[in-house]
Amino acid sequence: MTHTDIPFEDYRIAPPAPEQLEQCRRAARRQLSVSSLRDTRLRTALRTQAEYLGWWFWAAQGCILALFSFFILYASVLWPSGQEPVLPILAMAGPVLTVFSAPHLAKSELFGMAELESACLYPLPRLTALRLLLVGLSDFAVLCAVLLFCAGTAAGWLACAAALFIPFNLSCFVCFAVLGRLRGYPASLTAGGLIAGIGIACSNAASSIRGDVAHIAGPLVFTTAVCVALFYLRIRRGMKEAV
Amino acid sequence: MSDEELVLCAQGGNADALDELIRRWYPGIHAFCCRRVQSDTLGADLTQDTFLKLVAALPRYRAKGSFKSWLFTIAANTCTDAVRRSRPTADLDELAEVLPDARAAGFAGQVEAGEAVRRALADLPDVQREALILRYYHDFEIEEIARITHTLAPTVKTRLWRGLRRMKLLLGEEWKE
Repeated sequence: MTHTDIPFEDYRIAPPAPEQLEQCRRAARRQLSVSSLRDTRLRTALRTQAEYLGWWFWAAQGCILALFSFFILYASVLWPSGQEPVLPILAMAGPVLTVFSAPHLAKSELFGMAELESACLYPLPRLTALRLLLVGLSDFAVLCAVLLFCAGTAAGWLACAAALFIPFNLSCFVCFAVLGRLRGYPASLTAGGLIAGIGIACSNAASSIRGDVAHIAGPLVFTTAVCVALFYLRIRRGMKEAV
Repeated sequence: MSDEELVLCAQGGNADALDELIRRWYPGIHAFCCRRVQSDTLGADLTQDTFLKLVAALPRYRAKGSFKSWLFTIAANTCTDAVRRSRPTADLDELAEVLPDARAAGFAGQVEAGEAVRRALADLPDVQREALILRYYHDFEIEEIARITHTLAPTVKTRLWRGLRRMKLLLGEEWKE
């Protein structure tokens, strides 16, 4: 049996009167004005996430910045110019930052964060993307601030940037790879172990790159480009999850 | 702008976006409600209720399905509640009011056949009528109807098949008369 046997199209409804539409429009507007709608602006969502990250995350970021700045200033005072162990110290900054940041991202992927989702009225992928954006921007700001403290050293901007950002980028790759596949404490332990290994390896390698600037630019640009692309793709995917 | 983008704006409190959504969907929802409850007056009231419920439900909206499905789900629930509260019957006085409008709209020749279909639809059980209206007047797929009516696709198929069979019988008898 098919619907073509029945002349459904003959049963038409007269179009609604314009005043009915107008009345409905006015009632809906009135209802909207008294409804407690959520604020969907990006800055509100970021502020909410910043609050949920907790004071100790921001305190840790501040401590890491202060610690590495102090190390660099201390090294530039104690060691003769040109011989400061700035690069090995800088190479540890990125992995340390990542180790402190990764649990916050792992947490939002791990526990479902149902309470967070219901409190913020955002879907979880978007929350994770917002957190990634916040944590990424915060880490980047800390690394840039540490880089500014290198101005007084003889190591050179490019070498310092490479020592800061290459280990950081590699740590981010580890985070993306591990957090996307493992869950819970195994993820944090695996990521932490790998990142610590990267930090130590890069710190050892950093002492030998002094004066070899031509070979640094390539890896620095490549790893940064891949890292930025991964950040962008992850954040874009999460933000596309509609509210 | 797509419906989903308009909803996002409306969620942020943008009344113009809400206006645009109502302008786009009022005729469709109005037609659905009128057919569903078989009454133009009640249909118009339920259409307004549907949009007020839409505003109340805006914070819960997640653009995982289409906005059309979501809106029709609200409309279907609103109509079901209204039908449960008071089972409406075709009001002949109201029909007398509607028919001149229909004729004025330029389909006088189809009014008789349309009236037969209306009566046949009115004789169907609610769930069958709802499924037929969604399928043949609003072009929803079986799976979408299942989501809107909170049931399973095979159930929707059965309702459609039974509804069509019953309508064919009813229309056959009516046309014979």
